[in-house]
Amino acid sequence: MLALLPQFLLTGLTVGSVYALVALGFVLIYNVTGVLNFAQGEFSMLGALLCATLLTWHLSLGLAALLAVAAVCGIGALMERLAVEPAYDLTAGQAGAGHPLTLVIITFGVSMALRGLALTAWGADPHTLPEFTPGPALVLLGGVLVRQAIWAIGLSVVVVVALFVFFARTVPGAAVRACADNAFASRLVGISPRRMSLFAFTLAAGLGAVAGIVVAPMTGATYDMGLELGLKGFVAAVIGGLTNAPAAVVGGYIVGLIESLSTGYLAQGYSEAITFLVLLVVLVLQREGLLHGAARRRA
Amino acid sequence: MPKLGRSLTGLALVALLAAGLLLSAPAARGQGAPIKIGTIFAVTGPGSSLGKPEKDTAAMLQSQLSGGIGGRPVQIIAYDSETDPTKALLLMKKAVTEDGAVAIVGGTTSPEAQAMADYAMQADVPYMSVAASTTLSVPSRTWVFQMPQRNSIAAAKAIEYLTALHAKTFAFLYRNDDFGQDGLVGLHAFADQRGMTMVDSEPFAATATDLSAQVTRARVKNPDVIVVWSTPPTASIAAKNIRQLGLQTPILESHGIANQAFIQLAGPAANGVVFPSGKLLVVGQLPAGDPQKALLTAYARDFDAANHYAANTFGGHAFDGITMLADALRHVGPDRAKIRDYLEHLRGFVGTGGVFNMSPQDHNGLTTHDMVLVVIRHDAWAVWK
Amino acid sequence: MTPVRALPRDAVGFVVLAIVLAALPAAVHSAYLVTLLNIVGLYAIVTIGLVLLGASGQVSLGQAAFYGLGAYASALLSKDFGWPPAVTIPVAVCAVAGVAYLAGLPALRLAEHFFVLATLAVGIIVNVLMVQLVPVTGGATGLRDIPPLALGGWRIGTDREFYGVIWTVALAALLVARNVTSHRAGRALRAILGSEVGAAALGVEVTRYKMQAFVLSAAYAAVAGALYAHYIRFISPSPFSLYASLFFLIMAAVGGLTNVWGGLFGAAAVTMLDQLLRAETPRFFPQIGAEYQTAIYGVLLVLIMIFFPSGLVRGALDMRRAVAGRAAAAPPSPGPADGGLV
Repeated sequence: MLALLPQFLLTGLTVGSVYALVALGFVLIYNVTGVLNFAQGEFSMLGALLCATLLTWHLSLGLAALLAVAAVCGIGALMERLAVEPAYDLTAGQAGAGHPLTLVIITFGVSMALRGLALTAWGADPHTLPEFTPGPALVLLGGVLVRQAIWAIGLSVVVVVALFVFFARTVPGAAVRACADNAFASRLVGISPRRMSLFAFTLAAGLGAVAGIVVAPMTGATYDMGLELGLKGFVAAVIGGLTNAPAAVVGGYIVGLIESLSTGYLAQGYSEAITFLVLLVVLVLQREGLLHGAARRRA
Repeated sequence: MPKLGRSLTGLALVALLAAGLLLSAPAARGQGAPIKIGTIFAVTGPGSSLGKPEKDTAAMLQSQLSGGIGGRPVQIIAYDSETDPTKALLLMKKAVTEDGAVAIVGGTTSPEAQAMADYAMQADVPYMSVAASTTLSVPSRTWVFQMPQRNSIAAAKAIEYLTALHAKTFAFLYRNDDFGQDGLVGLHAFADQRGMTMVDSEPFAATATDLSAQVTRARVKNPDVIVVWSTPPTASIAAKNIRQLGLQTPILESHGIANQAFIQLAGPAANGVVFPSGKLLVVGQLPAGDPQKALLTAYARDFDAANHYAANTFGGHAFDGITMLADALRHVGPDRAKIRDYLEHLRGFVGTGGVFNMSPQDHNGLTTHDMVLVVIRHDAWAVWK
Repeated sequence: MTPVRALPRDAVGFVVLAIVLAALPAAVHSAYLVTLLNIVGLYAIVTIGLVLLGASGQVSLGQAAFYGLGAYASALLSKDFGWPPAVTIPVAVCAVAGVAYLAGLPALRLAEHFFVLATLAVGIIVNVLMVQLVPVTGGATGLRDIPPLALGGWRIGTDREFYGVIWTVALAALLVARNVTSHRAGRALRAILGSEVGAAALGVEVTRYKMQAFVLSAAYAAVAGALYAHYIRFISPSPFSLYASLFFLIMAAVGGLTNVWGGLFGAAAVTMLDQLLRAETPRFFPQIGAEYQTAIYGVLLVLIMIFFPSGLVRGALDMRRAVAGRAAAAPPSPGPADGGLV
């Protein structure tokens, strides 16, 4: 059975790269606003389905993907302004620290609304996107890796690096970080936590859309794909400690590998239970997440 | 203050209940009132790819039945069960007791259909199930009729392909829910009878995004054929992963892939895949003498015109349930017991799923002859020889 | 917030509710409405349990698992061993309480939102087991022909008979919960809600009370689940998924997470709203598909949480106070979960 290991590892990496991209959006929003965004997976769904529709208008794949990501960014911004931001006002009376449970349920309401609208717009049948670079799968160490998976893995790395550069090296990035550390103090120095919250939702929506567009050529795109992606991305983010972007990406790969290895070597059909069992163990053993780099920023 | 407030809460609760009562005043019945058929499909939730064409078929039939039956208008009430058995049951009770539906069509997924079938037996209401689970009609239940070829028939048809290939062994990849588990039981039983061996069975989640781990495990057992029992997208992902891993093993899939989405998602890997299906998909290739040809052609044409997407066999099950009830209404009128008796002895009824020959022992009335083995060639369906 | 001396007035509300509930079946003619009320009653039992938990500053996303465990345990014991449901229901509830205790041992050591994640994980693991253990649970196809409930020689089969049982249990659950939250344990729980460290300093055994609240809330869910199994007489894993847990939490939040009346009200409001939307929209607007209803439901949920972030019950109270012109004097109402949950 050891001969099968390379394939299980490659499968785990393929699946994990997508979870990693979704997890990044979770971490971004949680860091800046303290909100666990249940609608994160819906951004992926919208990205993939919008892209599929744009392709039927005979746009090139690159242009369609770009437009779809931009549109989903707009939806993310709208969501923040229409559903999340008003709740800040009435609950906590201060921006950037809205009531956690209220906000979680609001994001769940948004995810239901988006899913319902997507079902009317695109129907229940899966839609499809072409592979970015079609061609036969690559053979690596006796395992097979499809080309689209290389895109997904590559993008997850590129996005992490880009985020790192943005947060560490640019002024707006520093503002977001400051706001995540201490909303009150950053307001004193002229950073608007509200604008940061808007920014976080916009960017996270874009990241989600990228994840959706990358995964769709492998799995197809359906109006309800956001549920599962969101849940797995969420677990990945938690295993990574919820506040650390590179750790969330590693968390994504860990979840992917757990799934493929438990399918390959352990009890059949229990892989989801095993994933969540690992999550439980991680929670209990290390309350800050398995790969926490930074201290938890929010209570 | 909270003291009074709490009494107020109690009052508000009462007001809410009262509002619910008022809004749900029993529907009018009588001579000129419409005959109502209740339909309950999983338009949203995990069953929606089946439930939506079912609901769209019901909407289409509403306009086709606008002329009424026996001088009375016919109204098709459509409810969404959200793929939730509790809600399906609740809505069926509503359709039966409040709307006064004379019969019920629906139950997209097996758990919903089971709960609804139990209620049909309690309330003595004819119930046309659109779920394919074998236990819905074996053994037959007084008030429950099954529209799709039940899963055991589909499994028997699928086995014909394995027999024709002289396959000795096969691996079985299945979606881990009522559909896949029903298929597992069916195929296992038929394979044993024919001396074939299921060398491997691999369950996967309905939401899985990659199945190469399962395929890798199956490959080690060196099966003659790989059987996949699921619906798209996982059914397509399985076919894709099998070919991506370089296997040339023949692929047999289930009747769950009888829609265009499978071909689109699986791409080149779809070609060569064989599956059992109702005849709707290959209507153009049916011989002119086929009893279903005219009906299937008309259904596919009307559905496409009304909904702007291609008809599939799932919507067809809703079509069969409603038209069969309409037929019963024309002959015996809106009387539940008479409808049931009529349906139980209905023979030679041409539907999209086949030619139904009901009997007290068989409330499905279909056989393997009502299915064909379809092969996908050049991204299109063809009858497999 | 809940003065102990409020007992008499509170009791008035309770008696009024009991009388109305007792009289309702006579006024209701349709089996559908009785069934709907029964479902509301079952959900209310689960949600009141969630509110009990909420009173100790905790939120659970695994309540459907306890609900489902109660259902499966009682169904299997009565079906496979032939025990009468009157025996299997208490046995099932005790078993589920035991499971909750074991799960709570490590989970309750976790802080705030990590506890929520632990309950979510437990919920998903339990659901996978229901699907996977085919020889025991019947798998995804479900379990049929569960024996009906019988008390003594009285067989409880009809919707109306069940109405009596379910709402008697629900009212008892409400009474117990109210007493727990308004007596010694309740004061301890509220102290924990305010500040765990502070409560500990005052000599409150934080962990013990949190554990009691958690086990009791699981037992509530198990009672409802066991009743559900013998009422519907068919169970499958799907009504006990993560999404059911989410909906229980939504019910509790819509009603108000720290008020036991909020549990009852939330279950009624959410279930009725859902049914009104799904059952009445097609009647008045036949062309509107169910797809829109999901979207409308989502939007309504967002609006409720924006305008009544502490739940409809507190929201109604605040509004009344505002109308009475005393809004300025009153302290801002605490949210449903001040402990910084999730």
